[in-house]
Amino acid sequence: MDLLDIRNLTIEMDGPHGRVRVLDKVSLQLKEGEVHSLVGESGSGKSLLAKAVIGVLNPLWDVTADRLWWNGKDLLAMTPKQRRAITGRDMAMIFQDPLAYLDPNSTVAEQITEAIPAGDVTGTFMHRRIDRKTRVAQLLHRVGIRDHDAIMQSYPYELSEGVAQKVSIAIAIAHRPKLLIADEPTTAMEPSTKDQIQRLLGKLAVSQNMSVLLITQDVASILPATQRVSLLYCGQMMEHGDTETILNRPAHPYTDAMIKMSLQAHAELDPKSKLPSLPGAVPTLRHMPIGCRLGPRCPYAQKQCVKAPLVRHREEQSYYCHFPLNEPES
Amino acid sequence: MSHLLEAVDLFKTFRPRRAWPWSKKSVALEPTSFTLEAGQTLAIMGETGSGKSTLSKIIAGVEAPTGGELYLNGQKLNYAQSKRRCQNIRMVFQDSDKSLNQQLTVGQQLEEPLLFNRDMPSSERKQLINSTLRKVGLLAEHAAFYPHMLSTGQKQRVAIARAIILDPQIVVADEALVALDPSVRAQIINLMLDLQKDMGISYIIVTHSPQIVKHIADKILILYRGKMIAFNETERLLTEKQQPYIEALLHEHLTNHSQITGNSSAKVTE
Amino acid sequence: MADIELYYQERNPSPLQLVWFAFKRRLAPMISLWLLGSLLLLVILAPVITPYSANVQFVDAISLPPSWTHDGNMQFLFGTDDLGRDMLSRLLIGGRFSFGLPIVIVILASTVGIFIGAMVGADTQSKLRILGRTLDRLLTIPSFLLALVLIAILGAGLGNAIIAITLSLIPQFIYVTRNAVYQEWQKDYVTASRLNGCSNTYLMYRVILPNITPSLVMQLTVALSVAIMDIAALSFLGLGVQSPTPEWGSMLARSLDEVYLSPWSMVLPGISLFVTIMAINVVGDSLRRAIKQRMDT
Ligand SMILES: Nc1ncnc2c1ncn2[C@@H]1O[C@H](COP(=O)(O)OP(=O)(O)OP(=O)(O)O)[C@@H](O)[C@H]1O
Ligand SMILES: Nc1ncnc2c1ncn2[C@@H]1O[C@H](COP(=O)(O)OP(=O)(O)OP(=O)(O)O)[C@@H](O)[C@H]1O
Ligand code: SF4
Ligand SMILES: [Mg+2]
Ligand SMILES: [Mg+2]
Repeated sequence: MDLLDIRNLTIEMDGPHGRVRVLDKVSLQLKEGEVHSLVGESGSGKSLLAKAVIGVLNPLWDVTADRLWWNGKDLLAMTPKQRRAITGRDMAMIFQDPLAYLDPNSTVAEQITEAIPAGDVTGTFMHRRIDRKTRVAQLLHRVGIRDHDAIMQSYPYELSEGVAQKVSIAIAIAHRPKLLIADEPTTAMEPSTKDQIQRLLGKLAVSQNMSVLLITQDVASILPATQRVSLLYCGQMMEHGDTETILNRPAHPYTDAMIKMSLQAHAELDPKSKLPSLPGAVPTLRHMPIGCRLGPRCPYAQKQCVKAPLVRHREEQSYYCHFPLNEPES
Repeated sequence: MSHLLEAVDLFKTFRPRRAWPWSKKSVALEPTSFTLEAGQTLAIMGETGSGKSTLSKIIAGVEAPTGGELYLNGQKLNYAQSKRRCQNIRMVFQDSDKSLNQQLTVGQQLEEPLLFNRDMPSSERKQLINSTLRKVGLLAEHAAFYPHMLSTGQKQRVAIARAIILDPQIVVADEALVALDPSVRAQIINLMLDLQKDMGISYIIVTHSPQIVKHIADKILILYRGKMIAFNETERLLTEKQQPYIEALLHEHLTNHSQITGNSSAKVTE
Repeated sequence: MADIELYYQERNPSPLQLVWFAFKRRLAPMISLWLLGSLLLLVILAPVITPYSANVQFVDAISLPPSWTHDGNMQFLFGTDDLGRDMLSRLLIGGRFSFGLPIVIVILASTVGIFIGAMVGADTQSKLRILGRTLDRLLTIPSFLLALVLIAILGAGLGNAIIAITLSLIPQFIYVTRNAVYQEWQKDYVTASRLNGCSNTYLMYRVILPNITPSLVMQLTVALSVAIMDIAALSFLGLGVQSPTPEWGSMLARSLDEVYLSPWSMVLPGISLFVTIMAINVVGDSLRRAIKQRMDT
């Protein structure tokens, strides 16, 4: 059974210019211990999907889904209290803007200590105190902070952005959740730490059987341990499936473009040469194209694309496109 | 022949927040010297908190250095003497949302540097604004727009237009590319390269991404805890053997497609 | 490159105009705004349109009830008080002190406060920081108490009351302006303008001021209702406007003695005060909501 099973999740909100559908029938399954990457440009609804899972969406929005199941239990049918219990114990989220989610009035050490489960530390009062402190230091080390003494005493506003991200990762993994949602956790970091964090997340997935949902903008920064990838564009799912298949033989034009536009692909071009890119920009909510939302920017678009494509399957991948690429010759 | 920009022993110290008057100041940037030639791109790299932003802010004139000198075309630049600096060294910020004034139209914001640095009648200013907007891939009509009506990529284009409208010699960009979507980022990099070819602008860019650096930088300056530990041509830094810190910055080991596939389980168990 | 989005509006409203549009869409604040506007007009024209002088006494019409009651007289629309003075004239003339004077006071206090606040907020070298800190301490004292203390020092009387209320309002303006300016000053767009070589006056008036206008307007509405309350309260205590000059607060105080005989002499100034202050608060509140709505979209 899947740990997280989302079928046709739709989120609609009332904007100043009428009702808009910010997530349009998105499906996603996550197994226990699986590392799953969710890729998409800004405004594609990645953060919204994550927030829908942990249940912190604006209550005024319409959230409908054929299924939003956690371990076989329907999350949408639960009372807020039941839901919070599950969220607090089993899920953790690293938010995109770490400084906004760290408590500005307590030190880093206090905030991490708070996140360590009470059952973890035992013994006399002094024992527990020392134990907690070493645990905090250990956690900071794991996320790549070397001078833990100085960082433990600082308040969030004193941290640089990269360090703040690391601290919020430490807080998130402190209580060993079953599902870790990481919303662009490594954007402000240098490559070596990025590697370290990515290795850490991969290792946690294996050793603690923790599922990881990694949210990123660029296919170049998906986790090395990723087993499955989903691509989201403007609230529509474009393609999902096995990492290897998708990266080597993308069926969807968007996937193809994202791979060509990724940082990794830049490195293989001549210095100072023109980079490939999709024309135009991501449309605003007010001006969503009908049918396939990639339509106006898609190099392969044809008349048919004003009708939303249905899901199709090809071996290890599923895609939503009328004119798929890399079709096997039959 | 003097260099376009020469920095001699620039350094910067900060007083820690909860400090006594007599306690030691923390050093954000140790004495740093480097040079930059016309039409070249210098990339500043380093781990978080290594002083990259501090150095770029000093060059752009946002902050005064605690000590050291900057020479532009062989002439000394003072922090106080801002006219010459703001005509020749311009800055593009990380967040285009915050670096544009929400209450002024794009045209008014582009006019601002002209009002204070150029002596031209308003019709000429209009024309210059129009041609600059076209240079960055926008339309003359965009002059009447307020920033909240533009997309992120368009906003970053406006920010670049504001930087190049005075025909500067150097543009400093602190993490100006990280917040952008892949497609927009590629568009903006293409734009920056085109402008460099057409106008001979030199760039000083701050970024974490080795791939971008490899693509656009001629020289790389590497900082480690406020200290410059390498300053060399991109080619040489990439090909020659370096100390581990530099290697780690310049080569992203893991996120390689061939490595993602195949041996992923071997990697995570270590 | 161009989106279709770019073309269909020919005139682009500025963000401040958008706030105004959002404000205008709602009924209650617009009614309140019209109410305040007509009140201002009435108060300005009061000497011309009042039927009688405020202090002339009609011995044959003492404590006459309003004209719509059984005993009323059309000659005195709102009746007369215990000395036979026309209530309507007194209310209108009183409005000059109860509503007109606070406006003048707020204009004075805001000019001084915003000017000092802007200087303190834009000061990067912390020379003026001490001043800001001192004024912050003053803020912990309620403004009415501050006005009372000042009156105690200066002595009672209208002129002193004006001075006291003005002085007691200034710290709030300084505080709000300083914080707003300081916050804006840290932002990238101000740095960008600074790097454009803008002069400091340009920075203040063209760059920062439009961005802090919403918070300043909010503070203006708050200060106006506080000033109205303060003047009414001081006069009620006999420390502000002196009799026989009419003022809503002092009229209330006078009516206390004969509230059973002529309730209208208490109800009418009370209602005037209530309606005015409520209108101001509604305007301020809707303004806050309009700004927030603008931020959210
Ligand atoms: N609180 C909100 N009110 C109104 N619209 C919202 C809100 N939060 C998100 N949206 C809209 O929903 C869409 C999806 O937003 P979301 O934050 O999920 O994007 P994202 O994929 O996480 O992008 P990014 O990579 O920039 O974080 C966007 O178009 C956004 O404008
Ligand atoms: N205003 C300030 N007051 C005190 N210390 C500061 C201030 N600004 C920067 N520092 C310190 O100077 C050092 C260098 O900071 P800087 O912002 O230049 O780093 P950076 O290389 O840009 O890092 P990042 O990659 O996270 O942006 C840091 O240790 C920082 O704590
Ligand atoms: S459905 Fe049409 S527009 Fe959409 S991705 Fe496929 S080809 Fe492009
Ligand atoms: Mg997001
Ligand atoms: Mg920085």
